Amino acid sequence: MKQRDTGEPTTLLRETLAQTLAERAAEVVMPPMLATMARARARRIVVRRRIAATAASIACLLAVVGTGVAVSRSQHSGHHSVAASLLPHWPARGTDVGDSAGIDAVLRAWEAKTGEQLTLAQVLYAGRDSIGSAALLLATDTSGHLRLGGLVGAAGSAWSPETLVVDKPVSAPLVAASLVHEAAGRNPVLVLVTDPGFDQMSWQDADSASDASMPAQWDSDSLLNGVDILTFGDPNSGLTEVTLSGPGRLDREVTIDH
Amino acid sequence: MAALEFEHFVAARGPALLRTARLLTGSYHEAEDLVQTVLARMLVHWGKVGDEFPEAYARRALVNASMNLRQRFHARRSASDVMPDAGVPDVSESQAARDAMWRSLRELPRKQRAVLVLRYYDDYTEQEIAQALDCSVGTVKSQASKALAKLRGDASLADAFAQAGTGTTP
Repeated sequence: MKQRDTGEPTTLLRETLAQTLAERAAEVVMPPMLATMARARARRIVVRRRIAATAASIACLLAVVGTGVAVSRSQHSGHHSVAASLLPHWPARGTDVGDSAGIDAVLRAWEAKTGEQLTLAQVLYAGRDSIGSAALLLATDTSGHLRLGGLVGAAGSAWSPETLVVDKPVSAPLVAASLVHEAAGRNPVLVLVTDPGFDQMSWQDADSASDASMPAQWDSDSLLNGVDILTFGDPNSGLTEVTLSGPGRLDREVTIDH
Repeated sequence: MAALEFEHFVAARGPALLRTARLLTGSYHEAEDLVQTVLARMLVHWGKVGDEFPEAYARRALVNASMNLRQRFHARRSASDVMPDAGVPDVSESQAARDAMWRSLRELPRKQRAVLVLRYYDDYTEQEIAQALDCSVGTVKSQASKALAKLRGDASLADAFAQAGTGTTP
């Protein structure tokens, strides 16, 4: 009958094993800077995690942008002529750009949202039609800093502070804005065109009030080739997509690749 | 406050962790690297770890990390028979037996080696070893049994014992 091994060693083996382990362990000398070295390594772990999180965010943003472009192209691949028809009118300023009553209403809505007393500096876009309405203003706040604000509304609706889609300080004037809902073929879309002098672009999803931003340098260099163009959907659909690239100067032809 | 607690923990338990790591890895340099890694991870989560049982956490992390380290160690060592940290055999027979034991221990699979280190150096109970290795007590027993059987069957170790004058197989 085979004897079962209980795992208990002979005394000699056990003693030698314990002695060997103790002897080898005793050779260890405590390094003087163990805590310091561990602390430095912990800092590297934290930094690596932050870098990974940032990279993941950028990758996510790129994926969203890429998907938006791909979807846009697939949906509108047969309508290049429609998009092109908008361009001769660019930059459109909207039919309500001189409507002081409408602009004042927008300004009051913006002030209600931000709590700032704003002084109108420039109407970049103001217009409404059967599909929707949008306005984009430059104004100075009480500190004298230039701010950009914009509203998008459904057709026939009154301007409402809840529809504020962009509110941010700006370091350079916006070049142009346009309402291009015809090209998108659905909800009103406010297109903002900036020059690369923007230190940062940001937008606010009116639906979720979430805020996102990206460095203009990245945007200009790698994605939009010197012209930054963002599109905003209406308040119900939120941010739609970043759709197009351009050659860098607005007085040249800019293709909206819907 | 947390930083001070961490400093105290390293000062108090660092040497013991380092000794265990040395036995688990077989190499002093790898042991120091391992302990630094474990302590760094602990520091990142010190808010949680420090309030509970940092020693137990450290031991468990050390054993788990040594498993991965040993895999790499084995992969490297398979390319060469040279053991960089094997030590020089002593002239005395008993020392020769312990050197042979050390070499045999280094040949054991990482889990079996960890079981023997925790049991015969750290004086852990089988239950404590099972918790540290995240396995059942039965697994601990079987791993210990296999490890000891391998040591008993190691010819070089038997020779060393014979030369030491015991006249018996261990």
